[in-house]
Amino acid sequence: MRMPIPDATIIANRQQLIDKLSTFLTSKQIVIDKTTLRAYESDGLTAYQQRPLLVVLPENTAQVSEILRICCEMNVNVVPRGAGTSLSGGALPLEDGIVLAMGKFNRILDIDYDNRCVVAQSGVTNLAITQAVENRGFYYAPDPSSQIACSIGGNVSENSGGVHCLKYGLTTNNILGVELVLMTGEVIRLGGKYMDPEGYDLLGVITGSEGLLGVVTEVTVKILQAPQCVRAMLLGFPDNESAGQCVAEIIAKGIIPAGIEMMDELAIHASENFCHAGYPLDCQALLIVEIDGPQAEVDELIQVIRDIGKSRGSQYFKVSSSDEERLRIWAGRKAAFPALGDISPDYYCMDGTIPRKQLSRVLTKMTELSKHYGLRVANVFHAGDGNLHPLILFDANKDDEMEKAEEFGADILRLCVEVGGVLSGEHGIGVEKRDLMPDYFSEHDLNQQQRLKCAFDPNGTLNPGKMFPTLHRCAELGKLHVHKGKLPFPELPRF
Amino acid sequence: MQETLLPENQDQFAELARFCLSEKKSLAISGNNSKSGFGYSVQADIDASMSACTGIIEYDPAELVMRARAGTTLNEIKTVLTEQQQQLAFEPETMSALYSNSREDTIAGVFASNLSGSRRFQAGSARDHLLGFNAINGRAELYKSGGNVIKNVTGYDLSKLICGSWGTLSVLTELSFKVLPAPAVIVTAILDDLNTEKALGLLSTLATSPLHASGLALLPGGIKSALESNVTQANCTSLIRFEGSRTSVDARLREFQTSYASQMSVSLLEQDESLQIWKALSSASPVAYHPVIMKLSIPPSLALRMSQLLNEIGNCNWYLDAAGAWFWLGLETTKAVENINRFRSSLAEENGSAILYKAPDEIKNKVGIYSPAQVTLESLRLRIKESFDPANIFNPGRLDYQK
Repeated sequence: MRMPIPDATIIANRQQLIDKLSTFLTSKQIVIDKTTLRAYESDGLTAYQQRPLLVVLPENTAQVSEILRICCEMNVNVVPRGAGTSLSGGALPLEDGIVLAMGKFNRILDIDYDNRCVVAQSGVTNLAITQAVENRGFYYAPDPSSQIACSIGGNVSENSGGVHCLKYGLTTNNILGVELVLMTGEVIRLGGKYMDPEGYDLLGVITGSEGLLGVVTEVTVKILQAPQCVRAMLLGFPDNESAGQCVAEIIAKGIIPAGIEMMDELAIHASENFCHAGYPLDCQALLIVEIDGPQAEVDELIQVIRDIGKSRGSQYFKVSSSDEERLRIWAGRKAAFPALGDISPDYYCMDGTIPRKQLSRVLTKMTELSKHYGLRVANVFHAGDGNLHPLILFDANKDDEMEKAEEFGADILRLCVEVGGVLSGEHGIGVEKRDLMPDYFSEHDLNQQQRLKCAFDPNGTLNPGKMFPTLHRCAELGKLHVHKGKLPFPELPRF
Repeated sequence: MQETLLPENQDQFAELARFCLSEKKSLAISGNNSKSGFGYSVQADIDASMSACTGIIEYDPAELVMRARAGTTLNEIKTVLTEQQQQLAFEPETMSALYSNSREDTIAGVFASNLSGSRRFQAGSARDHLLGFNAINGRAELYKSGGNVIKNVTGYDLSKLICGSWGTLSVLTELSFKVLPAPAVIVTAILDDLNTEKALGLLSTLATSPLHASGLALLPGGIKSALESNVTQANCTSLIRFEGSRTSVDARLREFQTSYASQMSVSLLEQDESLQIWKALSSASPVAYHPVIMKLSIPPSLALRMSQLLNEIGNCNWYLDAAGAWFWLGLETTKAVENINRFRSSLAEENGSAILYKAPDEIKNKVGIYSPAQVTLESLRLRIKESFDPANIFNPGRLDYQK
């Protein structure tokens, strides 16, 4: 992975930076020793490691602001880091940059049931928000698989999803406001405990910006009342195609389930052996369909879905009769990744989205690619919204398997784009898919995005080397090239 | 009035933008000008409309996505969706009553103005449903953002910025947006005998109940006055909407009546009557007859205090929607400036927004269509405008809040 060339002057000025930071941070807040720094070398994408210049652990917004101001002044790169669970290398450090680790921002500041929201510091974990309100029957809807560890600030940066986002949306649809520190150290507040802020929607564009536009220090999230009734179904099919058609028909019938997951044969077997969720082992494809809402509605929909399944040739049907059983069904799905880790020394998790109708074509092609590269691939799939998670199984200790897995992964993502999909459904671009961006975006598309980055961070020192394959200077991007125009087209209709 | 150019496709529009850049001309861009009353008046050299770029490009109901050209009308899109029992869940309605015209909204106009209706508190607004777009920026470059699938984090989410930018950042040419199943049955429960405080309490309880009411409004003056665009503060009618399958709606209505409204007299508005009243509420039509219109977006817990303040000020009519989070407010021009400043200052920082949707120019210029913003924020927004439209050729001045 090619990263921007480190600036030797910055590295040489390390001590000067430490001195400046030490005027307002304690020694415990500045990590300088090599051993401790190692803990920050990678995030959830462990294939890449880089020891950072320093790690800084601020405790409040004023400190974040001062750190950024100093880094801005000294032209030091900054990599923000929440819980470090990014699967796309969003928090991969830079040799000449500090890691701004938000772990000490771990307090929930306000639980406001009247306004149906919670205000939390950005390092609070996703699950902790739900845990703080569940005694009153509330929850925070987005539930990425890493929710036990991932931070809400990281969720904002990555626009995290989860298995329930078909019905309840991504992070961007579930937050009301943030406090954000710009690279200059300026602190801004966007939104609050209300729905429609004035002017350009900065909150919307911050969400999913992968830590390139600002550092989130506080988040106001919506909380929802837990549904009256939740039940999960398992439907087994003899092939992927029938399962895919079943999903399309459920949605075409006007049903938006709380979640629809699909697993292929390899994933089913690995999960079942790993955690005994009770999955049928004689099917090629398994759907988990969760329905929630008022009791009467849930009862009605279970029947409809069962019938659709039958008409599409399902050979297995089970519906959860208790919450424990429902959670067991989900436990199998949630354990799919570690389960595959159990049958293969390494795996590489991909994250493209496709129009659902292309599923069969994509899976067929993926089987061909699997043969071509000689690597097995398992598929778990957020089937409702077309978000694929192919897991490529490999052994990093074998000669070139790691490279092969990367190439295989890139081919899968190009395939997603080719059939009308996109490079990432929820894991983000980071460093992982950075160099594939030109496969999806034109130069104009990318330049417009980078110009937006310049509006927030003109020196480009906030998380450089992520998302964009080529770094341009803002001055260059900002130049306006005017070509001689001619008016228009006498043939143009007017009134 | 100067003539309006009607490019028929995105390439023609790009050519027009190139001309404007090289000749230093500015452009007033619209769809059908149905919401031209929003924002400061635009003084531009050339008028252009996207209304000739029309047509649905792609629609497969099972994918929950539609792609259409900018000038396709909202009505056409609704008709096509209705045939497949689908809808735009954010409930956009024409604002033509507000702006006293009968022009048809275009789909680009719906997103550029970030419209939303009474289902906002559950389903979000236009910005939550735009998946991707093609547009021409102020450098006359055609670019795209987002995609045609419902889950996507590839690149910055420029769709959010475009929604609510009122044609000041880029000119939308094609849009992909999420479409969702439409409910088979819609019933609205009406309660007439609660005072404002009790009604707000009930709406607030229902907003967090598992009954999943999809409309929670409070209408002083009652249904009839709302439909006739003649709301007064005579009494207080609460409206509670349930949508879904027949079985689901009936079950929830029963539970509503036994658990939340057992001592109250409840009347029901079935399908068409229901549609009619929520259409009126979503389009601000109950207060549309006022010369000055604002929308307050607030934390619901402030709703009672805000209603008291509004009644105390007098000379204004209002109704409340989105479970207490929205006030649509109609004012007379007399004392409007003083009153607007009063609402805004009562919404201390972070406590809400107060957008001026309609007013004579002199009032807009005095108080601004948006509340005064933090300086850092203001300059960031200006830099963002510049990053899309460096020569300020698109709708110059429309959102310029530094008047």
